[in-house]
Amino acid sequence: MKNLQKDFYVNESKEMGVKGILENLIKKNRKKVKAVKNLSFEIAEGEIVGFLGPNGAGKSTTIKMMTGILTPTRGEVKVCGVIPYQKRQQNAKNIGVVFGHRTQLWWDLPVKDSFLLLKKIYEIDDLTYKKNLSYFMELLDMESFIERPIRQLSLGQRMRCDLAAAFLHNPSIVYLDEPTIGLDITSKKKIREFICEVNKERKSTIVLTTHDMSDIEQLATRVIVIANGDMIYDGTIEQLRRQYQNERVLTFSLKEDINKYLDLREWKHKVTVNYTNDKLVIRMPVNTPIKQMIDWVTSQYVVKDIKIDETSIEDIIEEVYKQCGNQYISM
Amino acid sequence: MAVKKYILLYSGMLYKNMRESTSYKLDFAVGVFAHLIIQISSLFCTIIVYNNVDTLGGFDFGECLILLGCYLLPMGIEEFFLHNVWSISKHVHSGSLDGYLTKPANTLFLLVVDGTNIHGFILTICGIIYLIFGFINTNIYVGCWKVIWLVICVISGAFIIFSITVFMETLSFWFTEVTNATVMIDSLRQLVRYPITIFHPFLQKFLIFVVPYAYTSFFSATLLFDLDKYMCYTYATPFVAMVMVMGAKKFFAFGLKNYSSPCGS
Repeated sequence: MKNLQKDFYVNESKEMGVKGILENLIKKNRKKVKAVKNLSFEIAEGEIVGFLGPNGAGKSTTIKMMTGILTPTRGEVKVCGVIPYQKRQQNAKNIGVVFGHRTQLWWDLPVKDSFLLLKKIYEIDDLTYKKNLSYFMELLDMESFIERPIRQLSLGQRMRCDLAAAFLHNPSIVYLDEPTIGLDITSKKKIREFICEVNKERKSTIVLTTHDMSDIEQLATRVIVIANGDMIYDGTIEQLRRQYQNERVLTFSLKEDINKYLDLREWKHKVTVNYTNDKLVIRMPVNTPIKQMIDWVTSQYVVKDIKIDETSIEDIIEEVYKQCGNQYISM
Repeated sequence: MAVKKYILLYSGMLYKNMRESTSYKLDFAVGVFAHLIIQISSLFCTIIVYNNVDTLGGFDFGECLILLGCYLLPMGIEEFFLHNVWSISKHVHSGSLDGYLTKPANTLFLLVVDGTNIHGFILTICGIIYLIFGFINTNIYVGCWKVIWLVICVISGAFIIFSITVFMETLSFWFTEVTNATVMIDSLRQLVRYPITIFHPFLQKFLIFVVPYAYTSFFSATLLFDLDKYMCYTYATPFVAMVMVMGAKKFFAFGLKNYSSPCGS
């Protein structure tokens, strides 16, 4: 993918109430918005890539350009040597798609009939179809509801069906747009296991967008962070952690209330201290020796308990989003 | 190979559509009832008109029944097989077009076969009944040749209605919501249930050359009446249909480039 760009026109309405309605009818408030500004990256075969970014960052737009749904304003996309929006059908044979908010299956049709229809659309041969179906049925535990119409399935069941449908024709690349949205812990787990398993077994490349960091932590081998249509990070999750994790939090529970002034001047590293009654919270940079600090505190007070927190991946991502948000404002 | 795929796919979709349409039994029954009422009331209208005049645009009651039959036949076929084309703007508006675009088959084909108005068969049956009553009333001779041409004209007519709807609905790629415009153009079709000779020449030309609905009823009826004056139009019908379908297909593909899927989905 090279210098990919996409402009959209959005309608904006300033007035409200009756005035707004009239304005809506008469005026055209169109504004050009650059949803994806200048994106370039390559994804290797068999990778699981997590797309991250705040809402409205351009993740879905990028995925839609990769799947051939949208035509880019400028730049080029190539998936397995095919330009998706030009050779849509050829591209569609190679890919599987799951949109978390919307099922691709037919509302009133029993699940197995939907699968049969997909078999016809993708021209899957009987052997592959049978093999895949029984494999997915077992992996996703679909036996109990395969004969019910999609309309009457729970969200978790439906998502499992959608996933199975996306992998049915052995696609070489699968796009999952928020596959775990609105699901409970067990459903999420099942879906993650499935993705992991199929990726290993079939070597399918997987492109995933999500707002659930555990998805990313457990699945993605690589993370691409997009904000305001620009790529702001591309690398492994560990690197991201190292790059943005800047502090650790030490929480001491003390036997007695703090009554004397804490003199941290001798402490040459940069730390911040908060305390209330018998709780002492110290934030310190990652590279400062933690043992020294613990020793120092224990020499001053009688300590009941110590808790060490590292910045969670959620906090890191929040930090990343915040930073790019500031950048955006300063532009 | 491709043709075989699409035939297989179509049979699968047809099964799916039948299943969907019949999963709500009450709605299905009410639909049948509603269509019958519409047809009966339209027949009453025609009868009332002919109670007051002997001929309309040069055609008597029996001939008008045949015209009505010719009007209903392609309409029934269009409703049954191709009616889902009306949902293009709905799919563009809601973004559900995304799903069709990621499937390895022609998008327009997938869209069109993914739904039916199962009540179309009622229109076709009514059309056949009108034709039979018309023939009884007029003593027109119908040979093998005429039947073949009638079938060709009816199928072409269905595709002409379809193409015009595709043209209108495709506009939704630019304007998002166009159902009203489609309804407006489609309502012109109401005109061709009457002989087009009763209209102003300008309107006649309009219905032949601009929005060619005249081919969906009038020119198949004149074939049955042996009116040589209109024969060239009758024979042109399948070609008009072909040109319209190809044009519609091209226009749809062109519109697709402008598709902007809704945000946040």
